[in-house]
Amino acid sequence: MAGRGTNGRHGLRGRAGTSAALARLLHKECIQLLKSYRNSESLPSSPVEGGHLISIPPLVPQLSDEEKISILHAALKECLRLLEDVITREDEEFPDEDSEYKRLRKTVRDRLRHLLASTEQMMVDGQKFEAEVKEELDGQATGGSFGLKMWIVRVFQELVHWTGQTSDALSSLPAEKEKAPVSQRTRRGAGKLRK
Amino acid sequence: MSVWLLSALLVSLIELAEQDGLPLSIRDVKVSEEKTETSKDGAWVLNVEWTDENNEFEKVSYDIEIIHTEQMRTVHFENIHVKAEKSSHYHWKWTSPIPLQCTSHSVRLRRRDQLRISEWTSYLTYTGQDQNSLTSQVYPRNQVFLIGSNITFCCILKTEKASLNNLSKFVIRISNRTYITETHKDPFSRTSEYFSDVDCEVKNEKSSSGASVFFGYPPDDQNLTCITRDLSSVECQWKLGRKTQLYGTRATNYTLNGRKCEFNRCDPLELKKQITNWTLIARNALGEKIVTDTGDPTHRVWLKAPHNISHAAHARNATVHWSWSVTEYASLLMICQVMLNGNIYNKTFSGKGLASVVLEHLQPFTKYTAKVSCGSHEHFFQWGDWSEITFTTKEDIPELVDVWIQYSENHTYIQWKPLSHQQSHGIISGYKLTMNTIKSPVNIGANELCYSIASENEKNNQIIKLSAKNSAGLSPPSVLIVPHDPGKGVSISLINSTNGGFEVFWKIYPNSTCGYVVEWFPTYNKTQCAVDWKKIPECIEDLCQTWIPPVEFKAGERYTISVFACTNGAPVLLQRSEGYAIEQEPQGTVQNLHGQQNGRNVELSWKEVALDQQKGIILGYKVKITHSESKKVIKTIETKACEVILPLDPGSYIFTVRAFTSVGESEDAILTMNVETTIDQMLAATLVGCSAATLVFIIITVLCYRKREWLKDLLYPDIPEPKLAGKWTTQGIYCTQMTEGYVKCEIQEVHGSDHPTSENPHGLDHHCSKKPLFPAQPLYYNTTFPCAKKLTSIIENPSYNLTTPGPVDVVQTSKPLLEMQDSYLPASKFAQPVCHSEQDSYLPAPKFVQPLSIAVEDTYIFAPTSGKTTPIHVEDTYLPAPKFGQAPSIHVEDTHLPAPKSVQQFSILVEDTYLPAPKFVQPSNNLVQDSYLPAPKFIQPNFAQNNVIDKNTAGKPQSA
Repeated sequence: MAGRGTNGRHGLRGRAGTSAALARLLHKECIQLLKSYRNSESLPSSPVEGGHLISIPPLVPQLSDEEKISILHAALKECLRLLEDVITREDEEFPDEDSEYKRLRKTVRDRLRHLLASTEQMMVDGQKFEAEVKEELDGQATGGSFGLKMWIVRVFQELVHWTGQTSDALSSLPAEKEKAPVSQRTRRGAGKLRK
Repeated sequence: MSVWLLSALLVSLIELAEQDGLPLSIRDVKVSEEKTETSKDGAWVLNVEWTDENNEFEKVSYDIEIIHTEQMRTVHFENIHVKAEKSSHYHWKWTSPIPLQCTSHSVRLRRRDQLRISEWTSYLTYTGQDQNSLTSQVYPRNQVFLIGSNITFCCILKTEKASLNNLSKFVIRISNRTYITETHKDPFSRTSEYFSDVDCEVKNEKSSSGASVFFGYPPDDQNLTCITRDLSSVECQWKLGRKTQLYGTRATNYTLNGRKCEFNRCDPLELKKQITNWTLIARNALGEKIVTDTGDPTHRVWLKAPHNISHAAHARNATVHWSWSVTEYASLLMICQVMLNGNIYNKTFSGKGLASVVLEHLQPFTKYTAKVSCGSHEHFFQWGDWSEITFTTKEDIPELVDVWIQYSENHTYIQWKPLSHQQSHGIISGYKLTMNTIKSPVNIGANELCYSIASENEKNNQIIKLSAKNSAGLSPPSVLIVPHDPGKGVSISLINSTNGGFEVFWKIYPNSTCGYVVEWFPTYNKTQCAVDWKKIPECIEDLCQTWIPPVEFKAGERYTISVFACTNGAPVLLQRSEGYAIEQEPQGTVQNLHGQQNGRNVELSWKEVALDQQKGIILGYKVKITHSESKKVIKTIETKACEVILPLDPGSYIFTVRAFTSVGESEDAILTMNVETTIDQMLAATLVGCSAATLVFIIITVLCYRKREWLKDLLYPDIPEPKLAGKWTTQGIYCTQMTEGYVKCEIQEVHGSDHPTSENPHGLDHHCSKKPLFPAQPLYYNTTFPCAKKLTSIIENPSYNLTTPGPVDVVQTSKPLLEMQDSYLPASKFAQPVCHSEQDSYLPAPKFVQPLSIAVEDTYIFAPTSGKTTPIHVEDTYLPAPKFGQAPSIHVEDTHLPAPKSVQQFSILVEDTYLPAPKFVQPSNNLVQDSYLPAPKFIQPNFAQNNVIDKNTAGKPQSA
């Protein structure tokens, strides 16, 4: 489970900073997208239940940072696929005029692609992780237009969830690395105070 | 009883026979939903079919009842009338207010004819989804409704035990598992009027059950037009009309003559050379619209744009070529139009399969943009598409050059105007000048617009020819015969401007053969080639007039405007005038301002403002005369002449002269000049002055004579002389300086004749004032003495019945004080019963041979004979000495007493006292207030006067 040779600790931390910032921004935009969609449609405001569409192996502490990022990368990849399906289907079903929601939807899709490209360089070399999608859009056909809308909400909820997870994971990477010297200084300072 | 029972049974049997007695003839009742494309998402129409075997009556009716099966609640009841038919098969439709899937509906019928009503049929049920659905469902769903429709939704729960949230909009229960919304209002807060999302909101159900419905309009397409562009197929187009607001799968579907197509994009139809019908059907979930068009497609030709367009341009014409991409056009008689530089060319072109046009009357050396469009000439329908090309025509020889002449004293200039782009027909490379006086022509550069032909010999009958050159060649020559001194003998008039320009009129000249030339140039600007001109081809109806606009002229510049007649020979000058297009105030001042005195008149003259500085027509001059010393403007004169005669008094004057135009005034020209007095004036002034002085002297003399008494009193009042007779005593006053500013005084009796002047037995001198004495001087004061107001004590005659009290403590006395400080008491004023207290004042001693000064300070004066004492505070006061026959001996300390001229020597002891009047008939205790002490006439200076005076005698000095 060795990391890529070119990454190294410092390389990982450097990319993590950029990716974490990207993930944070994407997470905010996903929240905004979900809100915008709910506002544009007359859908119930409560979250659509039914559990997560995407499932991944548990992110246990024993996993290395690279492994965690690889797993989250797999989940984000599935998110992108679901989003693109949604865009295609939505444009078929509701090809109304251009709107702020549609511009935001395109922004989220492009930034998710960017984040995937960014995190791909931080993944474990040679090991492949898969994320499982429990339900697909095709299975929602019986729900009609309402079912499609609810599915879109679920996909957007997934986007919010997994971009949040990724943002947290990436943000924790540099912080852990830099925590040690900070804590030492704190201890020394505390010792002086005790004297 | 039995009879009643039998009767009742009979009646009931009869009724049964009337209602249900007829056997049921209705058979094969069927109930079903009407199938549509969207009925699975909500079926609204219930079909009821039945067969009636009874054809007994022609007219029958049926009662139909529809109920919600579970609740057995009637939702519809209707009686329908039918005409009996042989087939006896009937079909009836009912539109439900809610989708039929929401709950089961049961239907029953019965027949009514003219005699009876049949029994009800058994219920036939259309089974709703609430009977067997495994999941929660909402109806209608995915359906489209007309904008503004009220829709009732139903929610079918998964089980009977399931329940809805409290906030659910499904509030009416119509079966064990089905709830519906209220129908009379839209329960859902829609974000758009074009769709609505409905959620069932079931308690404890993870996945939401809901539906989306859409709102829009039926199609409104119109104006179907079918044409041919290639003469072999037909294309149709139409307009949308009102938007349906439905998109995607719900958007409008189109069929044109049975073939599917998109909006305005249908596959071409086969062209039939005959009248053809085209039908467009636009359909969506809310309805359909059929639009038709009929016509012969060969009469509806819309040609495509010319293909491969090209040109062949010359100087004044160009040919535009093109080809056609459609071979069928070659046999079509067509008409073409050209748009040249944005304007439709004034000619159309026609021909079979037209492929070129020739454009004439073009401007040489000019860029053109040509667009070509064609249509069917035989059955013109509309112009086809445009095709565009740009080209530039070639150069041609220039047009005639506009030539004129400028005369000056020594030179004559040939001047010409530059050719415009339209006139030059190319790029001007230069000019060629030929004259009859020189052999070879002169080549002039393209930028030159003037040429000097200065020579005395050349001025006579010179014929000038000028041509412009470009790449195409020389222009036709402009010929001009130079006249000899054309301005000779022509008077110059003034011309007024009109709106900043000049409107020039002249008389028609019969010998004019080629019109007139109006020429103008700055009158005072003698620069080379400064002339401008305008050629007038002819007079219109004997009216010879032209307008030269303001743009040609500068403000404040004088212009000379001449009119020449163009003849076969040299131009003839008809008239010449000068004027200002726009006047300004003069820039300079008048020149040579000069003044000359002529008697009492001043002749002021000047020369006009320099011509080039006048800037307008000088309307006159303003002359201002100002006195040099007082700077007072004496006179302002306005004159048109350059001189003025001014009658002025002698003195120094400033003359200011300004020229003015209609706009304003020039700066000042200033002349300062003295107007001198003449001998006559001097004699008259002397005589008048002397006479006036003499008159004044006489008047003063007469006045003085008549008022001499008053003047004497005023200027030289009599001074009473003191008169002393017999023995008299008085008292000396001894004063001791006390604390707090008080003086303690004692009165000593003084014997005027017995005491030598040098003695001072009581040493009274040591209490005298130390203040300096002032010499007697003329009357100085003129104010009343303030002490008079304070003199409240009784002052007795010290020479009468004197009772000398002991020294009185000043502090203890309650008598008022007489305060006199630094004052002279004038002897003359003693005649008045007024006492003045004056500080630092002089009292004149008018009749003293020698002035006597007596200084009295801080002294109380007691009346010698009174039982009461009256302190009088006298300070630094002079008392004038009367005329003494002998110089008295006066004991004075810190007092300056001028030594009088005494006839007899006597001694006066004066110490801080006043000298009383020596002879008083009666002592009196009267209070002297506001009075002067009289100056008695002293005959013998044998006493020391005390300043205690009886009021009765005050002001009445008596001699002894």
